Amino acid sequence: MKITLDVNGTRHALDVEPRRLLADVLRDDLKLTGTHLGCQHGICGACTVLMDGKAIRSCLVLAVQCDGSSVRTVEGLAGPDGEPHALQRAFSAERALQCGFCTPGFLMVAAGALEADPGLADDPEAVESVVGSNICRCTGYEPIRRAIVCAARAQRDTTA
Amino acid sequence: MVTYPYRGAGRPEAAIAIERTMDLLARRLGMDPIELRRRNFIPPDAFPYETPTGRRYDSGNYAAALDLALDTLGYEKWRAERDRRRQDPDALPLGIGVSCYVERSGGETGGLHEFGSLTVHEDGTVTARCGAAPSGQSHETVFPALVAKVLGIEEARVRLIEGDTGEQPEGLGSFASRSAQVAGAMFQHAATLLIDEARARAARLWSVPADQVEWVDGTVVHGSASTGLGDLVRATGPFRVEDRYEAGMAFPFGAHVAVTEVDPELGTVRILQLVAVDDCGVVLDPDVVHGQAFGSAVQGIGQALYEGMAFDDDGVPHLPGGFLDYLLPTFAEIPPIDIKDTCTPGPGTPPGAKGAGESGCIGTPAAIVNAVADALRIADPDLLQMPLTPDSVWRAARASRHEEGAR
Amino acid sequence: MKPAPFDYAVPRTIAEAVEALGDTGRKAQVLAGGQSLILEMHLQRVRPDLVVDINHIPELDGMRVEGDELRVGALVRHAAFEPATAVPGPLGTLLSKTVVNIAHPPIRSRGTMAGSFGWAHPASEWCAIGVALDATVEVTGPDGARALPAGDYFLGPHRTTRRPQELITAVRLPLLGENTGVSFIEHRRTHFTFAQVAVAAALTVHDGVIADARIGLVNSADRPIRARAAEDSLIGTETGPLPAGPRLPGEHPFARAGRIAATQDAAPLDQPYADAEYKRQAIAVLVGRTLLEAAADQRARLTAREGYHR
Repeated sequence: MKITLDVNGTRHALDVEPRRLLADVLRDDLKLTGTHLGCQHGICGACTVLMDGKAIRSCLVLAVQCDGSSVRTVEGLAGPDGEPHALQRAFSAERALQCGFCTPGFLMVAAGALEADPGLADDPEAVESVVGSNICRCTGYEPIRRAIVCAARAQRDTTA
Repeated sequence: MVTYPYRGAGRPEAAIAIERTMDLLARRLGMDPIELRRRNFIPPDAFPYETPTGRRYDSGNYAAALDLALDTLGYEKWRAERDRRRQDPDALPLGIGVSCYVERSGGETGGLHEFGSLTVHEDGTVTARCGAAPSGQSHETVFPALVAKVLGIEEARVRLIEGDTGEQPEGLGSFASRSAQVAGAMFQHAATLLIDEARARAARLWSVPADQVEWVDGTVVHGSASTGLGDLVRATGPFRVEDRYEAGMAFPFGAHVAVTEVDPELGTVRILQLVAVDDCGVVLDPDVVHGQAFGSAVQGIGQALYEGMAFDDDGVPHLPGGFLDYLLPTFAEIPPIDIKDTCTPGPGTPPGAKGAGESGCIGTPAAIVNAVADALRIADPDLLQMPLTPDSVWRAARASRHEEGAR
Repeated sequence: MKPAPFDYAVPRTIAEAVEALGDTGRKAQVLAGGQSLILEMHLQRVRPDLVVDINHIPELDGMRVEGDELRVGALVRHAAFEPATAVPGPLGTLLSKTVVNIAHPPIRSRGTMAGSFGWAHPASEWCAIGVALDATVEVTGPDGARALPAGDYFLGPHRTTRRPQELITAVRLPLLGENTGVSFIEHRRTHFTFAQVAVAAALTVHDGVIADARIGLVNSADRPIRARAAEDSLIGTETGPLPAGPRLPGEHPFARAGRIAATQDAAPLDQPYADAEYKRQAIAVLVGRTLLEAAADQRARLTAREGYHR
């Protein structure tokens, strides 16, 4: 089936079988391997990307469902000059990753929340629900929570 | 079935058997479990200590770790609350559990070495190569910093290459908490080899005895003459030092304390506070070590409360929903956790670092299980088997309570 | 594993969707949020010949109040119920208190309430609420539209009175009056798994006396059920002074209703870490606690209203 995917601002005309998952098309066809596939059950969240601005599990969405949609992956977070996103800087500063497998998913679920809610820094429950969306085996989550709060504060202070 | 390295593998089983036994023994003796542990600690001046099982414990101050853990927790305050609740039939029972673990790090004899090299480039930068390969232990941060510190140069001038057999002929890996203890010590050793080699080269260049050439922050100096590392390479040719370094076995230790509240009607366990004090000798990078300790403690919570596999009568694991059946802790399950450390240097290597990063899986589960047993005052410790799922705790809560001092 | 091959249809109208589903020669599945379906297709426990993606049918989207009912279109995502003000009155409170128990935000941004009624999992929160409140499932098939009462819609795990050629177009839930207090409590091992047991309750109280009680039980039988015997035991009971909780005295009417629900209404099945005996215990405890919270909610609404009028 012929579809058009807008991924990180680039339009791709693709011919994909309906049974193929968005995650597989991103990784195998578009070579965007920053999106990690973990459990493939929709639980772990390593494969989280933004579809039309909303965080979704790319292992639980068919690529054909995204025909005409805009998809954002971890490769699309950094600025055009390669400048890391505020979240990426905060994850590094707060040591919010160890092995790094879950990191792309956490970055994207946080990016979706941050873009939807400029007041995220002042809403601890919303941050908790973001951190509670995915699984991390290494860090125990607390550094991830700190990093998201840091990035949210940085965003609030620059837009204020 | 896929298998993969796991923090603490092998040690949690020993720790839980020993620490549950200590609590049971204390109850049978009618003694405070903390006091019983104190009386039986190996005193600091008894190290190195030959254990009856043939281990040689390198160094330790077990009471110091326990003291810090109890202070951090506010032990007296929690104990008063526990006793208050025991008199209040409406209150949810609360318990305090302690676990004083000793683990072995670095590996067994024959596996205590690591191979590495340092190559100096004409631009004055250094490439460090190592046979260990990280899976989240922050080698990229810690090892260049360690080499730079020994050499007295900026961290940005040292680059690490690992996990590539095209770059490195030999290596063991990252396991047995050996990164800092073994590979770290190897890099400190390699950096001193680099300094010796630089002084020897400068001595030949300047025709002076090597012992008259000094090393000052990345520069070789003799009287008024001085040369940086990059110039030295240009003047003397390719510059690489390498060695296979053997470290000693180490025995990190610590004290973990948990406070839990149990809902006896449902069997749910809520951890109110967790304190993990680890002593892994000299800490090379506190942020990294504490980050590992925190994540490890959460993994220990998973072991204690959630992570289990049920099997059917044919021995087939019941995992039809994957992570919907094998439950890892999520952010919603994380209690307040305090991570602290004491420092008893390891005599086995010059840096004095012992293994870190796996302690939570070792010390935390026993502290939690002991806390639940304390809350419910359970007579038969076999009733509590990890993971402490609500159904098993509910059944344990209905069983008879122990009597203080009963044999 | 990955999904097995299937044909994929993207209808633009309900009529087109019904036509696609009408081909009885092929096993068809409707795809709305897909958060349960695609997982099962991964594992190839579900292998449809045809997937009918209804996400591009505008007439299925949106929810609105119609008379004394809330009509939830088949494309309304779980996340829509997160704000307590999304739906008026106590029903809005109940739905927003419940929705946070459904997985986590990325799942809630895709999955739909109507999809839960289609999937008919015994541990579905929405389905238990639907049964308790006498919801209506609207379906359209080759023979036209039907309105199926939720009370006898569920036949067993993943089995309902919906015919394979029928499409769920909406779920209708009755709004709750201001004299009704609500609560929902879920008991599960971690945040990332299904309920071992969960309970939804709505108590209507007039002058301190319970006039109507609705209790929905999650994962307490092979299908979502309503605890009618427990409800009956409460009618005409005075709510009286409410205990501080969460533990109730054994003789309290809510504790008694819990025991009735566990022994007479529920028919729990053994699961790893939750055999039927444990589930009955959890049902008894949770029903009591949920009723207590619902009564407290009703009292708080009353106090707020009296304060407003004063």
